[in-house]
Amino acid sequence: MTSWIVQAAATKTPQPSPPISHAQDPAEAAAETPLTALRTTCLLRDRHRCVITRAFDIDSALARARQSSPAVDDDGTPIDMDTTASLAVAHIIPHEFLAVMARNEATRVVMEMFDSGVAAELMKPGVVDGPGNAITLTLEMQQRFGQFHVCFSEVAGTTWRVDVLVPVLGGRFPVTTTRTGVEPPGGRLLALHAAVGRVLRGSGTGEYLRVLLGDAEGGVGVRGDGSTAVGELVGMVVRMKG
Amino acid sequence: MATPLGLDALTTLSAADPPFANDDDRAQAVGRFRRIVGHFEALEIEKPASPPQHGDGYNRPALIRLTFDHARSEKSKDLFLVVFFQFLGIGILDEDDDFVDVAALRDAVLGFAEFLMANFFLPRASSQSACLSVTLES
Repeated sequence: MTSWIVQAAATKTPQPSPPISHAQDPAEAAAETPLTALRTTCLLRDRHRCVITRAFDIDSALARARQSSPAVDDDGTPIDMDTTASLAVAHIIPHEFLAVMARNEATRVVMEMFDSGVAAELMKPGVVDGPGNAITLTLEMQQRFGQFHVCFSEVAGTTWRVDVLVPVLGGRFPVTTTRTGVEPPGGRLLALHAAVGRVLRGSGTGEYLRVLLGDAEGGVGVRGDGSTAVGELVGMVVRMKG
Repeated sequence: MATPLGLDALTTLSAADPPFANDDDRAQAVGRFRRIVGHFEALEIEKPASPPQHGDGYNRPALIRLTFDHARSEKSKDLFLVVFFQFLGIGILDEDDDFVDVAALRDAVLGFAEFLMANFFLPRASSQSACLSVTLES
């Protein structure tokens, strides 16, 4: 599994529900349980709302509606069911990038060229799959974030602005949001994501990769749980490039 | 002459002390970097696309410049400059040497963009770095 590009192609952090059943690699299987915990932690931290659109988690809304009427959000305010959405917990730095850095010294060096010290930070146990590297988003915003259509820029303290890097999202942005909770999304990682996005967009590389992987993905497909057979995908891309 | 740029060199560089004795040296290296990359980026603007001036699909000089511009700290930028000039096989300061013809650096500059691509933006799934196979003509 790998990288920004695959994140951009698959655009989905593997979600714990429904359970991932295809895992062949013991290490991959072992990573499934922490994902469940990560989702729970981040939904609680982000108060069951998308940090960009503020949409409330539809599954939680329905569960609460069965228990009480009206259903209320984490602050006790009645939930507007028209503004609910399916939410995902998305990695800021793709989970797969850890494995790439572990194998490839040059990848770590380039990461250091981007942000000195961040590679060591990311490789600490629990960081990549921890709440500091995750944010709660609607499925739509997860795609926009993964494809670097939106990114976060620090305004002051815990206040961040959501910027658009492509014009298609129009007047909805910029919006402001806050990093909250005991373990908020890491500002350094959000800034790294934004930096990568601005480089990709500014050089036309994002579109180049989208075309490459769009073709590749057409041949590989996305699995039912939203993950992609990335090993195959990367292999295809390398062959296409070669 | 081909100069291999291997992982060992990069690893050493990444752990190196600040490469500049003072801010003047740093500014000189930044200026040198911008002159080189700017030369090829200007060509890219003049003659984009068909046939591609710098290969297909993306603006390689822009990828290099933007990666430097968006590096998050001075230490990161220092490391970037060291690796960049090492990759090109020329000195980091103007006094180190004179390259008369910037155009002669074309392949190395474009190769550096592909190094960034192969190892960061589109890292390979294999255990070996693409830079192991990179050779520079000088």
